[in-house]
Amino acid sequence: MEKIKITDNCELLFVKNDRFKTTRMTLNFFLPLTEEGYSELAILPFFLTSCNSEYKTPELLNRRLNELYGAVISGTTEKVGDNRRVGFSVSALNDRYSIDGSKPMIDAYKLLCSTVFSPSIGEDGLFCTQDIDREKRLFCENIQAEKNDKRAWARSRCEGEVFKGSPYGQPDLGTLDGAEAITREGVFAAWQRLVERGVLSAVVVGESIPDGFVDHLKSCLGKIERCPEELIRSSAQPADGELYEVTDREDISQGKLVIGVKIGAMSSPKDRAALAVANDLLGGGTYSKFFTVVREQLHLCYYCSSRVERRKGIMYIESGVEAENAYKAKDAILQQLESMKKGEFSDKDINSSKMTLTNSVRTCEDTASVIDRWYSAAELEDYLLTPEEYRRLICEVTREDVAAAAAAFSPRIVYYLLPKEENR
Amino acid sequence: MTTEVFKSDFLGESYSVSTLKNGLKVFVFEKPQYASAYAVFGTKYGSIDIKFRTDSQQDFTEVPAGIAHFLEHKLFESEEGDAFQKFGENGAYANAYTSFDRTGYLFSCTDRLESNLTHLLSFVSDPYFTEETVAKEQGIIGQEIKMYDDSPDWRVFFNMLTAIYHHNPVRTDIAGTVESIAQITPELLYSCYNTFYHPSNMFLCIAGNVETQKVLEIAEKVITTEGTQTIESFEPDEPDTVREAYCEQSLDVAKPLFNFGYKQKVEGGVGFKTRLATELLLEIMAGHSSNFYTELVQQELINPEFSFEHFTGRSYSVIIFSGESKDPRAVAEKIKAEVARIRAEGIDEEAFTRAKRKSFGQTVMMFNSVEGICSALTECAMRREELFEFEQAYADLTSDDLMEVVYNMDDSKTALSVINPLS
Repeated sequence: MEKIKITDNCELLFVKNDRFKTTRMTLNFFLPLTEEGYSELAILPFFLTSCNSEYKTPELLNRRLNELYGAVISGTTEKVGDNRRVGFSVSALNDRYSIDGSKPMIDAYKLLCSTVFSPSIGEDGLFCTQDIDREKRLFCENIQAEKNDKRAWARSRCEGEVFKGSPYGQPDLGTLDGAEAITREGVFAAWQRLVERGVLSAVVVGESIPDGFVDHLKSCLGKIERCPEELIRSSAQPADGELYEVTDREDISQGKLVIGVKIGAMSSPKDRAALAVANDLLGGGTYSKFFTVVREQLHLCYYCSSRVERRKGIMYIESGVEAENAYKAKDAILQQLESMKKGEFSDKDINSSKMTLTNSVRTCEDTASVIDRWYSAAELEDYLLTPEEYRRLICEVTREDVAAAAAAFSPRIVYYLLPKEENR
Repeated sequence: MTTEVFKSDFLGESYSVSTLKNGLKVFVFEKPQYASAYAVFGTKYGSIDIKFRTDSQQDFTEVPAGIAHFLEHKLFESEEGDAFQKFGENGAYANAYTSFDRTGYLFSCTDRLESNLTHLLSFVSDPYFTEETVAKEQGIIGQEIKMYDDSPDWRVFFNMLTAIYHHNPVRTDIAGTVESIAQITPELLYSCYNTFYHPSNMFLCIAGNVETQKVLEIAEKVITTEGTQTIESFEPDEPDTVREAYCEQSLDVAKPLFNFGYKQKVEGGVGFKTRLATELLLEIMAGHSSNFYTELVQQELINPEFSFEHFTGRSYSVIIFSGESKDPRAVAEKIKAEVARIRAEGIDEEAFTRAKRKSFGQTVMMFNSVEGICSALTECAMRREELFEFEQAYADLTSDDLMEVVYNMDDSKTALSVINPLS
């Protein structure tokens, strides 16, 4: 991995990898999460990737992408600790696979930069009403559709309960009320804030940095007076207190159970590796406690797994359960959590877990989007690890390290999404 | 054993197809610069194979719906325990899937390839079913079926297939029903296994950091079944019409979901050229760069969830448009009108060129992924096709080929499936 200075406040990370027939270029912006402008920032990646000053409608922009051998421009947003990431990526065929001598890679990065820095602006200096109206409607529908995926919905509800009252408590895309209140002026202000005050890093994954990309990016940034905001490096953690339960009832046939567990502070990359193994032993592979005991031995669920949001100090345990088994499943999960805290796991399982995690880290080198994602939050890392460095740390994790990570687990909330009484 | 090697100078890639004495086809695509390898050991056996006989049997055997999927679950269990365990110990990712016409067992790993491959081939070749383990699985799969009952995308799709087809077993849910899986016994599982898990009906596809010679040595050592076997799956007579033109269900969704399908003719499968022509036609007609898509978005009838696919297998073929809409019936009417317009006006040549470039580029991009390559090899194994034939196919394809597809899109053979929000 090579770092190249673009401007005083922007670096490009080049991850050389000659496996792919494509090159992937990404621009990641970060801003602290705030209640104000939450929804306006969330809609930006959708709006900006729909049209720009050169291709003024989604139809024209998509025609251009088709001409570039199906190049894909994507805009994404997510919460990263108490900050928001807004990312824009393009993946395009390496020029030698063009069959007509055109250079899809160069055209693709120009399109990426236009998408971000040169949006379609109307005569009054704001984004056009019809473009905002269109994207706002689609954005609202996108938020409404989140409820269709009950598993993701249940986790989002649990997260909202744990971090209630803070901007982080909102879903990634915000609420429907927030989306409906979006205005043209608000989106324009959010875009200005993004490009002028967002912390920016660029990532290129491929054989080489496309000719002219660095200069083109410098030129785009040179036209903007940039003054990046301070990011939140120490995100708020779940509050201490008694374990409590929240239940929602919906018209569904299978219930969902999500348990939010506070995890310990992680001060070093070594802690991060130990936590990864502890989490995997609990709710990762087929040797995990949740899989072997809760699913296979007790038959209390169809799935049961855990995942960690390390920046927010929380682990979510997610399970699909029959309504009549929901409380039994909760008890069994909490029992396994206690067993983990007591260090009741075998050396064989630790080895399996370490093998699985190192396998997964090495596999990430085979997918450009995963490599890109690995480095996407580089701006927020105190220690920027390469996959290989992380793999070595996992190999070095000891039984004691895992026990120490697990000892800090403390369940905070049990969230149930259950069928309505009349459906049971 | 015979081996054939296929090369693409354009891509700088090659792969081999070997046929073992017992008929097992082994596809190996070496990508030595990759860290991982991805393997699928599969059989041409899926949820539609519910009535069958072999060349040594006179009568057809009929089995309950969902048994292929049930068998897939059960094969992970042996007398020694769970087959997943060994993959876990080796740090490999393992999984399996059952679709309409195939079942696949897979793993991905960066280490201990030989051990993982040996294990994959061994556990799939070693069935172990008892009354007790079958009863346990009935409970687990019952929960899986319930999970799908809550999935609006799954329901809208199957409801559409049920409306399109009168008798074709593709209309039945892959996992079956709680009632159908209750009829499954160890004897029925062994009967299905012995029929469809014969090497001559199976394939091994592997891509990534592998050596062809090593893969073949392991396959020959582990898969020792001899002889070959011919299978006949009973294909019920399927009328040319659709069973019903409209069906609906209510679930907890924010906005109505729809699947709108055109029943297509299937005569001995659907060839690569037809599939490619259909893909391009759909992109030109309803892709995000089309006037049609733009107009429907402007009219607030669809959103970016709108998509299309050509759903096809050995005995079924449906062109499907899907998405969310406040008025699915209006969307279906607009689609019919657009098909009629193209039938009358023909294909726009500029749009044809753009669609071809997009599709060609995305096919090349597929070769970035060992999983993608493995999946494409699986398709080749199922359909007896060659992976690199796409290069010539794109060169040869004309807009007339797309018009052939349009002429086969018959308004009287359509079905609209809708999931409405609960009132």
